[in-house]
Amino acid sequence: MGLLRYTIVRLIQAIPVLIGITVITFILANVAPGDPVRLMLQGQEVDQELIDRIERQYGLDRPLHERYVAYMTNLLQGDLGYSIHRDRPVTELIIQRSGPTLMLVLSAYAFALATAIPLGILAATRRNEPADHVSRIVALVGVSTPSFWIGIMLILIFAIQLGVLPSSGLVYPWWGPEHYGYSGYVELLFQTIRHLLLPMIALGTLQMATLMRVERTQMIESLQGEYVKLARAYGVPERTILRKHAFQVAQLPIITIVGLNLSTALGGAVLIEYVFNINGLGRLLLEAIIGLDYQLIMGITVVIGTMFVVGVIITDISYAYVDPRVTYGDRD
Amino acid sequence: MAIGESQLDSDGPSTDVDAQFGWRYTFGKVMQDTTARWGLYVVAVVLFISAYTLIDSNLSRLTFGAVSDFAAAEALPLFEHPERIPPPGEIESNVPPAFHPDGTLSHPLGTDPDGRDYFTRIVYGAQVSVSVGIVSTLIGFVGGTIIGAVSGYYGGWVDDVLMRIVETVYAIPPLILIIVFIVFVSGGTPDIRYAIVGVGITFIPIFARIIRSEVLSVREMDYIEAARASGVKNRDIILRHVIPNSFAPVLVYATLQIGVTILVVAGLSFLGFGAQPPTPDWGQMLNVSHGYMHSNVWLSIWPGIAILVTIMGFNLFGDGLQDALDPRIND
Repeated sequence: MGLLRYTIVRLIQAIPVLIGITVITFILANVAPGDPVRLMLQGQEVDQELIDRIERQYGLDRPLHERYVAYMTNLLQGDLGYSIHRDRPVTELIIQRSGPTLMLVLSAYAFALATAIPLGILAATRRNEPADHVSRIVALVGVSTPSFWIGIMLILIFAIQLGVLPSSGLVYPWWGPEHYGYSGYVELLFQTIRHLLLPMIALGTLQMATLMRVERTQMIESLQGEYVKLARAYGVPERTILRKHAFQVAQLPIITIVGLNLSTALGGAVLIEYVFNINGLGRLLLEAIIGLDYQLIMGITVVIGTMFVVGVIITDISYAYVDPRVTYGDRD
Repeated sequence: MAIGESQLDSDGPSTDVDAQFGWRYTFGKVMQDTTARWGLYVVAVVLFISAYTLIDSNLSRLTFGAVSDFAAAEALPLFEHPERIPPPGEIESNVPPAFHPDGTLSHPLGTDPDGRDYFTRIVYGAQVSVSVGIVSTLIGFVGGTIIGAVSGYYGGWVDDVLMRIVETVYAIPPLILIIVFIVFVSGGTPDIRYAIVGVGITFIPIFARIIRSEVLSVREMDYIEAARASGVKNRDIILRHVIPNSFAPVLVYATLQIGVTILVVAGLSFLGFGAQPPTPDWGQMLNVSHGYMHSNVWLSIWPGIAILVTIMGFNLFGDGLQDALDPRIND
């Protein structure tokens, strides 16, 4: 089976999960105790007529399964509902806020991979030496520290004490330098990185810690492989063995971990966006919750779930692309 | 059936001895590992503090009625009342920690904006974090064990349906699923109880997957075949043979999961979906201190360190337990 067919099969396999996400979200939103309309109005004095009208408008007077079918019909047309508090379509709000979240999550991954891979290799090649012990401590602290607290500490040190980096907000390069009044694209890039640095480290530390340990274990295993012994026997220099033979094989499990960890990263983004005042999906979710904006909360949950599923599919496909041994179409 | 039972029973005692030896051996191995031993010490200290404060606060409640009765505050033997906001003038608010020139030794970690002793609140915070961490993990553990065992043992369509549900729950990032659960189920008034249940349910899929993969191999064992042949009911086979024999890896995972749970609950409380004020809770204290980052730096530091040390303890202990139970991972 070719790569294209494998891709299609993976996409088809994802459909039940995507439908499941909408079902779970829909059930959660509708088993809620109390009248959603009254909750949305939050105790304001309104007459019954208005409540009835809102209920009709949102179809709340119809049975549950009918409402779900209606929700899904709209969803398939890209309509995630309407936010009463913001008086705008949910889809539009989500598209607007997805950029910052994706930028944050992707840069956190870039940071995690750029630090975890060299450190993991270093720890593997210097096993039980000081470098290995340091990497072990870094990994342990990394998985034990709440990301939002790392964010708070980074703000305290770099923004408040040293005053060198901004403590809130992001610069979005797609708005262009004119929007921010910067002199040109160089300054735009510089400012983008400057604003992104602290949230990126705060969100990426956990990923870095997990990836570093996996990289270390994989490299140790890979360095004990027959192909490495053979290469050594042929007198291939150790550096080349490391770079060409051991490294490439060791990267495969990393790809899978990256995909699965996307779940923690997307969840962590909510906390980091809150700490750093970033207007992404996570903050939109928190704002929607304060206003009990049902359709917006449901929409964001469905979109973030979909992002994770798509992310896992992308990593699965790239795994299959990189590893020639993968037999396409194997389930689980 | 009688023969089958007695055969299984005659097997029983010897495996029990093995198991006991196994547990003692495991414990010995954990204690040999320096880092794991320290992890166990930290866990023990945190558990002791939680137990002490739990008894402490409940004793005063039993003796003096409701906690809101602030006369009871004086009954607490070692600490000030963690929730009582002192009247103006009694204790200064925002006192810096003892090492600061303006600090006093009577408030080693300073006081919070309401004038409450910060050290007391940090100590009492252990109770919420640890009990929530353990209870939530237990919910995930029990739920996951049942679902995973049923799914793996029966196979077929039961397995298919249960695993699709598990996969779906897995697909929504835990923190977001928990927040949405809390908001919708509580109708917009979050409370620590909803957080406990929400976190527990969200972690069921992870446990279900681990126990299922164990059960898939246990299912093929001769003793299961023997039990089935002698007419033991499926439910009894699952409860008495399948689950006990697939237990060890899940138990290790549960220890590591407690750390993750405390981390998630801290995040929830930080966002305001966990413990509500005035309950002392590390995550919620960090939420309050977020507004004082410029003036009172120390308010943001101590709760974070408390979370870090606690989770590190559980992680070190869990790692040690894993190494002791699975010699393959040793390097």
